[in-house]
Amino acid sequence: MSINSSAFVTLTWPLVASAVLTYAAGLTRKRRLWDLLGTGLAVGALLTVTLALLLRAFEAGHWPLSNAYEFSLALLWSVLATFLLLERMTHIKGLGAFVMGVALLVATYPALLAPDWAREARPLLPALRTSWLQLHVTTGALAYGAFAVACGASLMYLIGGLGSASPDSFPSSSSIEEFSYRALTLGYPWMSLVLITGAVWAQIAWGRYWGWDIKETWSLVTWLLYTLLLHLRAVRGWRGKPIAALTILGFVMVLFTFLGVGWLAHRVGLQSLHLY
Amino acid sequence: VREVSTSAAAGTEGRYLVRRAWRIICSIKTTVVLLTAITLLSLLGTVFPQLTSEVHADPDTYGQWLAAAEARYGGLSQPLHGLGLFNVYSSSLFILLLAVLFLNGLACTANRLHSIWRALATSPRPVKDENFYARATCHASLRVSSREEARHAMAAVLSRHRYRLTSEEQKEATYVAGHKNRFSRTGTLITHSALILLTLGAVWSVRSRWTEPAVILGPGQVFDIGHGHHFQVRHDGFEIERYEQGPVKDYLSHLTVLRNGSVALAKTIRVNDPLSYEGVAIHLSAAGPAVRVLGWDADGQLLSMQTSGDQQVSEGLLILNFDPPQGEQSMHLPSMEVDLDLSLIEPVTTGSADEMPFLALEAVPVGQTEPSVVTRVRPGETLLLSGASLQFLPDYYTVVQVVSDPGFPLVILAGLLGVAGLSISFFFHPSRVWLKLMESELLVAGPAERNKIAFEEHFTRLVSDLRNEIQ
Repeated sequence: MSINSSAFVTLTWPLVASAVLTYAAGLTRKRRLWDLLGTGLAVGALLTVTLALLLRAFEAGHWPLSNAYEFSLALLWSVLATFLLLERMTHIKGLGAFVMGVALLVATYPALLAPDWAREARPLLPALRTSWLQLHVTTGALAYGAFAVACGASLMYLIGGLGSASPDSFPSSSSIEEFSYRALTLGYPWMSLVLITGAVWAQIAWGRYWGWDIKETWSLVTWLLYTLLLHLRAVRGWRGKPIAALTILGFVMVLFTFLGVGWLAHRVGLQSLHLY
Repeated sequence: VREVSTSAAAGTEGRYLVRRAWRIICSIKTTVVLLTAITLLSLLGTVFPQLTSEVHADPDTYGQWLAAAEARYGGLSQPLHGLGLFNVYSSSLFILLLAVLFLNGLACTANRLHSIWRALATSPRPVKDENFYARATCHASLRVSSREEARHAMAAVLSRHRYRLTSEEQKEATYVAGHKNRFSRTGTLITHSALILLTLGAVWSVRSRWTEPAVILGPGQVFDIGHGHHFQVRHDGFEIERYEQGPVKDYLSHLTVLRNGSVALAKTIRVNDPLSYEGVAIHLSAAGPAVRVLGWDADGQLLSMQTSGDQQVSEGLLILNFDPPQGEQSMHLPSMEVDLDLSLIEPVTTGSADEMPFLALEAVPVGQTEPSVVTRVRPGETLLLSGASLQFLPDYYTVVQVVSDPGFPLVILAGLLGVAGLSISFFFHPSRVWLKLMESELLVAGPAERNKIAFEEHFTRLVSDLRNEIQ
């Protein structure tokens, strides 16, 4: 019997879903115990995705970063890794239900929705045969993963701030805010590197580093939004709900840049070198 | 007296206006407004098709583009065009916003220089006031059995935490001020400077970049680079590399740089691997089918041939580039007074010689409209025409983009510098602590400045380490 990457991808979804439920249970009682179990499940999911990515790389004969299916796996890896890293670094617990909820959303595409043709490992197109693919897409996955974590934490902040509905075992709003901010500060330099590596690759492949292509523009707009958010926080002292709302909006833009730009280009009749 | 006071008032008002303008240009509110406006305009450019400079440059293409816009938007096309919505990124408003953002960044950077320099140049001084230690955001008190031992332990712990110390010995107590990661205050300065450099690089690109967007080179054909450069590029062949399973792995174009007729450089370019020479990059854009026509007359001498519309006569060899592959090509045989119209039945798709398409050929004597010969020729076959022989050999032309962009390295360097600045700001937190060591007690205090929770966590760890070391 041969083991392929799809088996591990399919296994990821129930692991992440269990982590969501476990962390959610921790919000009502015995948080310490449930959090420990949730973290165990999150680590299990991370290991499973890592194995899936490694096997996929072996099957395809290249880094698994060449289509939406592979990128969503890399993104899931990044969300899980960033969350676990930040949990360890900040010692802030209790955010798992929401952050892993976003991870579950990401895991749904590769595990449940991706069509068979997307799951099929294919050789690289000539346009993708370069080390810049690895640099550009990996930085993208790391940036988007960190923004996903920030989005999950901000969702928790907003829901936790709804008033009497907030259970006592919710982490303090300042802890959630700190966690979200730390995720943003991880994601923002990566996002800047996405634009830089993309520019270098575009210069090498197409002879121009910036062309106001729809994908490029939406990436820039996403970066500008996070720039605005960080400035408002650092210099104007914005905190709380407005920052949480902007963080969620930022991740919506990330998702649109990843998934919606092709649709928009088709709808408006725009040409894009990024759509093939 | 009135004149003097009027001029003094005018001077005061002038200074007031300058100060006000400076405050506005340095303001973060201005930054926020500019970033928001640029973001919204950028988004607007993605919901309407944008006119590129290439389209603008060619009146025919421009006309076709406008006709397509009219077909799409009907009566709204003209108002949308008038509002500049087809031209967002090169509109005066967008460029003005970018220019003001540049000035805003410049002013903010200049405005912060003094305070950053002061923060870098001055170390915190020990504090003796007892109340300071009780009121600080983070504070702790530890029991000490021996002041001397505690002094060594304190120095060891603070050094392990990479603090730089200033201490003052008094009879009643030892006062210490420690600071670390002070350099991180330069992070914002570096990032802003990088954005200024990036803008300068982009402006340099806009002003000095030139490109030849689609140079078609048939096999053996040479292109003079021009633009003040004295070298040519010759196309020495094109190949398609395939995976074992069949799909295309890569496209390869063999190019040679010629300077004064000699070979200066030879390189095989690929989609992601251009040729660079003297600051000029040659990128592989596309390829298509070409035919090399070899001709001899009835006496076995090289046959004179020329492509339609080209005054230059080639002896014995003519290259026909089928661009687009479905299009027709015409050639003229001056010595025989015959025009040949050629078309490919199918474009080249696989690169294998036996899969090359047929050539449909019509020979029309000059001055006549009806062809004297209508035939099909297989690639590699020789056609006999009124005693002359013409051999048609399949090949490829390559389409390259020739680009020179001196601003590009500065833009990328600035981008990397910006990321370095961001990393310094985000991952190295400046922190300061003050300590007062008495005979039986150690007071520790620290203000949580930028990153409250992170500092609190650090402070707790520091106090715990101090406690362990002292005990």
